[in-house]
Amino acid sequence: MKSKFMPSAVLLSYFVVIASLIISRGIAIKLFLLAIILILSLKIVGKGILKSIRSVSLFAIIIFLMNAFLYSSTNPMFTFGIFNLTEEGIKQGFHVSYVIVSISLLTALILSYLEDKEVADGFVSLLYPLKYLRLPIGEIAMIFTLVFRFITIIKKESEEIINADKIRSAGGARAKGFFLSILIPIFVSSFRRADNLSLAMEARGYKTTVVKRASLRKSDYKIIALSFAVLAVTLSWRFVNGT
Amino acid sequence: MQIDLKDLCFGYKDEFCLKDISLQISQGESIAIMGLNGSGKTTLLNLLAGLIKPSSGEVLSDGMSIHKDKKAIREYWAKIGYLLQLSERMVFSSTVKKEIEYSLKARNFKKDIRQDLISKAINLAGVDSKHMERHPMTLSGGELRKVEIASVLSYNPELILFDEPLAGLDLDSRMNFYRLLDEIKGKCSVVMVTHDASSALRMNRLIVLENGRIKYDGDSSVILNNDIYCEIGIEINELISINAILKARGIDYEDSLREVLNEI
Repeated sequence: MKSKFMPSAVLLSYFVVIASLIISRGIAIKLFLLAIILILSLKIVGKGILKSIRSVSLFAIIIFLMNAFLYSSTNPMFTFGIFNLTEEGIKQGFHVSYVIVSISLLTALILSYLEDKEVADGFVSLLYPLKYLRLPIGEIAMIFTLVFRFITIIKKESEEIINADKIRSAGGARAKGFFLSILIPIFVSSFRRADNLSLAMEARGYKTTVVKRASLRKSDYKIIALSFAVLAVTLSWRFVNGT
Repeated sequence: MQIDLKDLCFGYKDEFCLKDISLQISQGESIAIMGLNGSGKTTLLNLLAGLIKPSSGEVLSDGMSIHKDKKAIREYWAKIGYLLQLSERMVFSSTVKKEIEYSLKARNFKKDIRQDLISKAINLAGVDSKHMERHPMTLSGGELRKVEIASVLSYNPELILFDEPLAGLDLDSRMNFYRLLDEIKGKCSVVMVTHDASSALRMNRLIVLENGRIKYDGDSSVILNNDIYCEIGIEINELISINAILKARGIDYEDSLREVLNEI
């Protein structure tokens, strides 16, 4: 899929919206942000994106319970042993769970909109300003690119290994508790690939990647402006409500 | 076990990588699947293995859909073996013996029976018994492939699926594999995706795929007396090339060639 927006613009907006999610206070603004993300997700990706919520929901519930019962406060609503149910804990737990669910939904949206290579290119373009701080952005860019390419390859290989193991173990190692039969081949395959890749890079006379400044278009500036507008609304809300 | 593929299609939306595939695989039949890259060979093998579900149509094992429910697919998997392309990637155990034993343990074979089955499998696959306590990763690629073949053969599957089993093997290992094919032929059904004409000739039946459709389904000896191999991208064996040239010149020694190939 060829993206309508430059990957760097999409990723910058992604980080700005994440910042908005983290600093958001108050149920109304939280629901507003979540509604925007949900509408965009359902419109761009479809109902399939709701699976990403399902996969993190257990983690979000555990985080909520941990915050609700382990938050230290002088006036707990309920006490049982080391567990104190507090209002602050419930608020904090709700906020953290909300941020986890929203970020996972937003990440699933970005990853379905951009191809792996575009995500890597976007990150690399975003790093460009760090050049003026004399940071080795060429090397960092190469790490990003390799990591994202590896993710795709390893994902494909892992699927093959898991599939073949379903037949070897007549039902899937996971179902029978033989995790090693999947994990070891995946690790070995990853290390072998990394080894081969480093040899191939040496053989081809690898030089540091040249990072180019991203040339943004009008539509890219629009999406960045929109994300900053969301950030501004969230900040104003926080300021007006004095939280 | 009889396998039936009924009007199988596989793909996304309007893009099909397999279309209208109907096949019947009888008990003990051996089939070679050939075709150019991207013709749908591995997809067909994965459908046969029940690892992917068809977009339409169904795969029946003894008349019952293999995707009927979880129990049905697990029972089906317990009866088949699948040797991946570069199967050595699957290795995870600390010894060759444990590697072969894995499939047997997963199928709940008792310890005393397991030992007997492992001995039979390593003899059949040609694994040197001295290697049994060695770490699989210390073996050569060819030896490791034999270990994985032994692992598949150990539980006597009714259907074995091979995905390019000769990829990366030297001549000696290829010859060993040909012998193995001759040994197991008839004892269980074999479906093999290959680009190698010699191994395809050892199968009873040849299926040629082109753009996701069956282009040819019939006797494998077509490779010897037809120039079909030029169209389907088979790795041409020198003997077969010579036969084709001589045949074009009016000299037919197909029967002798078949005998020679079987003797190798």
